[in-house]
Amino acid sequence: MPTGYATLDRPSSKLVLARYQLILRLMLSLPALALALMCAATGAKPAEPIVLRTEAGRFSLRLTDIERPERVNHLHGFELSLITVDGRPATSASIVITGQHRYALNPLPTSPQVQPGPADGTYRIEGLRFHVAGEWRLVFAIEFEQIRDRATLDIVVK
Amino acid sequence: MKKSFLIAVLAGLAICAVGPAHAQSAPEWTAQELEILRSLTLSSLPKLPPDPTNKYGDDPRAADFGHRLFFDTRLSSNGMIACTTCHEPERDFTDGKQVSIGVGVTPRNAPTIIGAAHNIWFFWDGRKDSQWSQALASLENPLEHNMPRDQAVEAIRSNPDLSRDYVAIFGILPVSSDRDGVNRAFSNIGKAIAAYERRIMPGPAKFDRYAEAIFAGRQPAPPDNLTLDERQGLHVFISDQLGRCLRCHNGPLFTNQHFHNIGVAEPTRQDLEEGRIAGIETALADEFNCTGKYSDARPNECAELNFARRNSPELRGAFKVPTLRNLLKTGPYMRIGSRRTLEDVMWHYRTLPIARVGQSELNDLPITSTEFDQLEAFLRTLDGPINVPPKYLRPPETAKVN
Repeated sequence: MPTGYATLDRPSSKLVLARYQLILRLMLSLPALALALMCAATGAKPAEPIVLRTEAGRFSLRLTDIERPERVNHLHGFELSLITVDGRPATSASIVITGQHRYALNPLPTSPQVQPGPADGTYRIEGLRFHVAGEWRLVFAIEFEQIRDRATLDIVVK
Repeated sequence: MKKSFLIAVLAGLAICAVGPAHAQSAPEWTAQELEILRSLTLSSLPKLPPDPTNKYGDDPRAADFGHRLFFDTRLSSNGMIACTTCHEPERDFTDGKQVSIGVGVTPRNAPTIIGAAHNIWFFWDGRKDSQWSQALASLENPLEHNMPRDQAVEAIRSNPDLSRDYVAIFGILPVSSDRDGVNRAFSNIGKAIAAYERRIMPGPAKFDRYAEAIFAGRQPAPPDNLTLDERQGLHVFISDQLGRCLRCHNGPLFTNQHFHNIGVAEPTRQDLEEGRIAGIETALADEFNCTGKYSDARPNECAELNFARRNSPELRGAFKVPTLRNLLKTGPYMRIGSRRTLEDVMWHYRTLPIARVGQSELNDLPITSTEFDQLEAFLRTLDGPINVPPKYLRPPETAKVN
């Protein structure tokens, strides 16, 4: 057996030490994890946008200003930027958003509307309401330059 | 090394010493369930925001004037019907009847006004988008007050007290030939009534007191402690595997403010109604809606109307989800008052009637007869006082009351 490798039967002292260090790091990271969970519970928004790729890979969507988790019975909105597979902003695309609760099977109680945003390929989504807590699936049906594709986003509503 | 081992052992012993005390009072509710309970308590109800459609909504003078109008039978064609005829304060602002009786017999059961200012839509089919425009429709409905708008305005003008108060708040009364002025004055009558109704809020119920004690980590006081059956009923209520009640009855007012078809069937074919699918079209065409000229809102403040769902099959035969607070005095239940008692309501969910319009969303629930009884026991814990200045529960001295 090459030097430096350890078997599962007889772990080397270095490997044992590494395991303890890993456990210690995990314990130290717990407060940070708890803080992250608290942020989620209080409806804090992530700094990072959500990036989705459509089913056939023809577009990518970048969602910003979206609450995670979404709150039940509030009107929500967010920004969407749409990029084609060759990296162009997709301006004046047709975007239709539908949604369904994963278990109750209720559709969205509102009709979200998509308005052009300030920059090329950007859009403002308004009028999204979830009236039941739990898991929802949003579907973005996109049509641009005679190309149709869909993207889905699973979200948890609290 | 030995020292650190000793410290570790002592720490472990300390944890063990604390452990049994917690084990003896093992928490009944998981963290996730506690989060749900918190979302249902009255302390989660946000402060009532201003109604952008009604700039008089939070004006105390308008509320006092609306209080007078609410009790006044002069705003009816036969001089016998006031808002209180169907919304009696003693009955938690309902009338105890299967369907309400105004100048004629209406097809609807009167819902409570308690907390209704938080509603998004008004009437069972949501054909109104504000509390003041709802009041106007009841005034003009031939089966309720049967009071056309010009006659309502004339009733104010012809009474020195009422006209004096009206002018002090809203300015001059229009001449009867001024159609737009009459509409404006009529809308002001509704806005005053809504200003009064906005003060009528639910007070903490037994459930709220129990939950607050649990959140504070203390044992609820005996009168506030839910019985075993009530707690089991609460479990059933919040479980998506059992009662699934939260799908419609969520939030501190126990309503998701939306419309669902649960197969409440009208007695005859002539009475069948389309529900929300028609109600939203009426709301959009209403001259007194949020975007109309008599509303005080800017167009961008009418999001609910602008984003309302339309022409969707699940809206056929769908009606508004009522609050579950203050159920003890607000029966009979359902929009046509077809369920006399809470036990009858439970029976509805056990028998799953087939909808005569559209399709019922109800499914067979995997809960036992005992659990249905426990669910009913829990619902009774949602009864609480009315949070309103006491003077607003009594007739004002100057109103004409039968």
